[in-house]
Amino acid sequence: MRASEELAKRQREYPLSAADRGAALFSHMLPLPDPQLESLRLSQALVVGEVNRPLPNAKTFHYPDGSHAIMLFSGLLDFFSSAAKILLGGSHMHRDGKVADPSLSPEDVIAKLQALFERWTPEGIAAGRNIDELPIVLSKESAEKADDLSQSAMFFILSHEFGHISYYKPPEDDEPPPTLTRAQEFAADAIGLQRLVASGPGSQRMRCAGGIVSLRVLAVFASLGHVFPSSHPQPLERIEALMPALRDAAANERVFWQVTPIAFSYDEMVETAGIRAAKTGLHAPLTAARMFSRLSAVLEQCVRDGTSGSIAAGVMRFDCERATPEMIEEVAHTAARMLPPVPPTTDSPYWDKVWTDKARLYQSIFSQLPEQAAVAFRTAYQKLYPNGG
Amino acid sequence: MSITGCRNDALVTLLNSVGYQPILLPRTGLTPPELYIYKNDKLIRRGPLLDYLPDGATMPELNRGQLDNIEHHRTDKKSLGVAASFLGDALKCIGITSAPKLDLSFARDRDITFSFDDVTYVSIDSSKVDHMLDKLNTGAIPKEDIAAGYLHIAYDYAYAGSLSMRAATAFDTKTEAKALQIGTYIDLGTQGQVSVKDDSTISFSSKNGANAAFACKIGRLEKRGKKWSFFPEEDAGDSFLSDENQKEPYLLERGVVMLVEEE
Repeated sequence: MRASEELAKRQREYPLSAADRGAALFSHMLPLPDPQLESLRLSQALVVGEVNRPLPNAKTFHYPDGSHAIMLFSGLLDFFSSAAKILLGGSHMHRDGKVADPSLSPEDVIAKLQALFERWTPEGIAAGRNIDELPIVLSKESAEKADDLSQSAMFFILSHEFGHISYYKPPEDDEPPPTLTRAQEFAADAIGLQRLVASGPGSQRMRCAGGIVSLRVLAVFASLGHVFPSSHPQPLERIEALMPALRDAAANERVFWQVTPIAFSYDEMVETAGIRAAKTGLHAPLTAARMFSRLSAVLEQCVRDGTSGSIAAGVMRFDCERATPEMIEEVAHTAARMLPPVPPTTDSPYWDKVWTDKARLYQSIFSQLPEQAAVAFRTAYQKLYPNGG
Repeated sequence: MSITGCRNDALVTLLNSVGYQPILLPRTGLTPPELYIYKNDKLIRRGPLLDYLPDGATMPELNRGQLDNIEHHRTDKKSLGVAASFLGDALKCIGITSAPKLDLSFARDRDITFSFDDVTYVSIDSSKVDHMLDKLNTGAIPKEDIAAGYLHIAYDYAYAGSLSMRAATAFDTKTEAKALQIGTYIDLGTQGQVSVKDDSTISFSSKNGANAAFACKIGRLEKRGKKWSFFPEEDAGDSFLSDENQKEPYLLERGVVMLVEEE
């Protein structure tokens, strides 16, 4: 089939210095859940491979014989690999009931991500700047998680590209091939995310983070001058559509917050780094979702560490200083829903206990919050649970 | 199939950068447009496009000119063994197809470079190719090759009037490369002539001026519905980024010299 020939040709033109990471990722996705795609793959009409080109890009080619080739550029794989290592370098790792301190502070993470983006402006890439200028030393566990994160990001991108094949219609006469509609582009993201969450590499949390980080990285590229096809929804639009898709993919709202803390955290750090690289500000904007995700994550850490809720209160005080009254109201309502006095019982006793302990700690921090937030949090809670649960 | 020893050579890269695919044609006297099949890494010449048009079809006017941006540009340095092989192939490009006697031992351990001189082109505008396709009759070309998109049209050939071989350091003119002595090392037969240009350069040229093209610009041919479409530019694919979406000339394969086979 043409696709195999063309991929082989590109790999001769741009030879790899190591094993084909695109083919390896593809092999981990098999069998493909979509029967049409699986049928194409089995007949060699769908091939995936890495091409050693420095741009952070991925391309899908359609050939007259009905075959398709997805070519993942090494630049994209390298970028996600480097970004993932930096993010994991700043992440706490829980092991055997102990928490290992990260090698990088949050500011270090943002600074290194910023430096990574600055080297990868369009001009930087054209000049062939080296991706490995800032090696990060990671523990074995962190390195494995970083691998899960970058693999998840690429899994999402590859899954999106499958959408370009599923929706492809061969051109008729001398018309150019029709491009995907905006609705199809968003659908390709939503389906890609579902595939990632269902069968991606690593933990659910790392899969969600991979999906979000992949689009956030593209959004930063756009802010730095990379041009995305005008026929595509822009990365920012896609990321705004992805969170609701992620919520839809979760069994319920609690599961959504349970699986997304890393996604929210990494997303904020990558966005902040991008804003600094683009020299348009200092911090990613605070949102109610980011605030609640942070609150939920810190409460979980306090539960795991067996500490009081004072750390969570400190984090909330910091966020409340920057938050609008509307944001605080929204966080208060979300927290009241997610952290009830008597959390529901599910088929996961472990998580039931974690959420029960988080709810208990949450109720203990109201008095430690700024007055406006304390009132909002207490009022939302009492409104939802007038009898105290 | 590509010839060995030339992958990503400086001259090949230069030709690619201006849209030319280096080729090694088995015969001289060809002009565009010509039909090819490029399949399984084999480039097979099917003949003039005019042969696939109805009787009475006429050839549009061809463009002719000099290619100054390619002239005198040198290949990478080649060792003696590689240089001998390259020279044999490159001589075919200037019309010297009979097996020449090539003994480069006089160059001893010196690195060798080559360049094409007196470089010209003959081309047809791709818009004129489009018009010719209206009445294309592919005849005996296998339908599966057409369906797979293996058909191509060469619409521009580059020719060289002569070939220069340079040593990194001067030949010893007393003993090695004097005009009178060069014939003992290199004999091009009746088709070509060799001359010593200076103390480090030997020049080869055809006696009858019938050159083969050494590079071509080529495009893909696709049948969409009932219409033929000609694509002289690379397919950009569905791309994540459009940074590199400026249309680039189509190439069969970057970095290589394609060996052309005759049907």
